[in-house]
Amino acid sequence: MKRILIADDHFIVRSGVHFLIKEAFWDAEIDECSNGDHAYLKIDSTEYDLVIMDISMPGTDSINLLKKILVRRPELKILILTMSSEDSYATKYMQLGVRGFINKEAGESDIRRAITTILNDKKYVSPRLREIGVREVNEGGPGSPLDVLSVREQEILPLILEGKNVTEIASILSCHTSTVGTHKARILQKLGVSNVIELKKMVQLFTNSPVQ
Amino acid sequence: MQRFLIAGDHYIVRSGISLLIKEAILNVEIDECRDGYCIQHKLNAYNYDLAIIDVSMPSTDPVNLLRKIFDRWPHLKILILACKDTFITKYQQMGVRGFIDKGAEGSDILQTIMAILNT
Repeated sequence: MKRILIADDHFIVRSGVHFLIKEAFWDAEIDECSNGDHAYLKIDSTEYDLVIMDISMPGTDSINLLKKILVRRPELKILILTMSSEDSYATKYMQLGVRGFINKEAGESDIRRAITTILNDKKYVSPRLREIGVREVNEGGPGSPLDVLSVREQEILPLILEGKNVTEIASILSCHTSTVGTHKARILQKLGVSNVIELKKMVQLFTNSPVQ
Repeated sequence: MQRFLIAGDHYIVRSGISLLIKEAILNVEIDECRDGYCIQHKLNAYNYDLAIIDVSMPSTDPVNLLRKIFDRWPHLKILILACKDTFITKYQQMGVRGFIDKGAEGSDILQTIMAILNT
């Protein structure tokens, strides 16, 4: 029997993933939770075969949460389920030690394939991401200048682009406003732009998917 | 028996709602659609007690779609599934009965659905 944890703040998403898993593994035991603290407590007290986790739960700093989880359970299989575009984040999260990364928009068969691949102790990379990976290897370098950003900076970038101010971002990521300010300044400096409008243009230029 | 239509391009969202409804209502048939074309096709073929439509489907203009639907099926009960949408007032004027936030809890979603079915 498989024990699986689904961590996502959206009831609908948890319920959809739950349904999909039950169809593939009828005897799976599934726990659900809706925030990072709860997820850590569950993982701390239970041995899961797989954790499926959203990285944009409110009040949850997912990078820190993942680091903490992987210190506690280095062998834990984690699949990230996200609304974020896979291209810009997946590599960073894979480097942290998660086993797979999939977009919530993915179809039934891709999500199921991601789950079974990871349960079989392999890493899951979506066909789209694999293609980008191949392109990077062929061209002998990173595909986008956005790759110079750290995981944290990549996490802050979309929030800036959504028009959130430093205070709002700080409360979303539960960190200090001055930290966000520093990261924001570093993002602009690393990418060689001087304001958010230029930043947005640059991101649009180097990502395939349009920025909302 | 009641018949519902759930339309949205995210498989997870469709099956999440479908599961929620099937757990609450015993005798229900649920059809699913991924785009506006499919919605009109289904509406042509069956009589629905409720249609739950995610308005952020790719290559579908929701206002146009709703206009077309209400022209032909003015009494159809439609629930819109949306995160934050600036067109909520517009949709209401067009005849949409209610809204579900994608982040809402299951009990709230069911309550909205039941309220609309009972009108």
